[in-house]
Amino acid sequence: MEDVARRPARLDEVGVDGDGSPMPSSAVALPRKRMEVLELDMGDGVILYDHSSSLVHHLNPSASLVWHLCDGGVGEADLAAEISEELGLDRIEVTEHVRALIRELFMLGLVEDANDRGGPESHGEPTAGAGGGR
Amino acid sequence: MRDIEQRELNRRAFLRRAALTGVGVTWAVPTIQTIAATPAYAQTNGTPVDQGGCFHSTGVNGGCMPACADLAGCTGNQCGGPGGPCTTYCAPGQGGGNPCCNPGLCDPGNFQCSTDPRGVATYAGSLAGCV
Repeated sequence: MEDVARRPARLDEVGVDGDGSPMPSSAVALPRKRMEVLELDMGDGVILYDHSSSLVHHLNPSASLVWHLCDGGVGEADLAAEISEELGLDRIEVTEHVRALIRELFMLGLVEDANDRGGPESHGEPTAGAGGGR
Repeated sequence: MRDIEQRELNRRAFLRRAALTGVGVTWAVPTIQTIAATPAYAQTNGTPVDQGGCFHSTGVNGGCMPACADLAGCTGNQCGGPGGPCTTYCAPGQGGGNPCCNPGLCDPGNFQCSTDPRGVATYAGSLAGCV
C-alpha cells in the first residue's frame, strides 16, 4: 500500500468562494457530518434531510461514499488519497471530485469543520451498509 | 493518536467493503441533487373538496355524462372522449366515482354541443375548484 501523503488540505483550498461561509483560511478543514442532518440509505445513494434549511438532498453513490467518510478525522486530500488507494482509482481525478463535493457539502451546511467543535466524535464514524450498497 | 489511527482503519475498512460491493468500479462524479421540502409540497389526506355530488357518470342529473349527452343532447364522444369536458374535469381513474371539480358539470345547461361530430362539447359553466 502506498504511503499516504499527509499533506494537509487547507480550508482555503476547499475554497468556499466568497459567500461568507464561516470557514477559517488557516486551518486544515476536517469535514464532519453534522449531527443534526438526518440520513437515509437508499441503496443507490443516500437521502439527507436538513431540518434547519428544510432541504432534502440526494447524493449519488460516489457522493454517498465520501459523505460516509466525513468523520472529522482527515481533510479532503487525505480522503481522496484513501479512496483512490482502496478503490484503485486515479488519484488526481478523485481528488478533484472530492474537493468539489466537500466544497458543496460545506456550502449546503451538511458538514462542519471538526476543528470548530472539538475533535472527531463517534457520530462521524462510517456506517455499515453505506457506500452505494450494490 | 490511537483514536486517529482507529478512524483511519475504520475508513479504509469501509472503503474495502465498498470496493467489494462495486462502488469502485462505478465511481462517477459525485453529485448532489437538492429540493426544498416546504409545505407547498405536502399533501393532505383529509376530506375531499365538496364538488356538489357531481361525478363522471353518477350523481346530480346522473352525472356529467348523462347531463352532457342525455340531457344536453351531445354525443357521448363529445362529452367523454379525448378532450371532452367530462374527461377533462371529471377525469376517469381518480377513483371514488371520479368526482368532477365543479358541480356545474352536472348541469345540462352548461353544455353546448359541437356541430363537428368529431369535436368536443363546450362547457360554459363555472370552473371554480378546477385546477
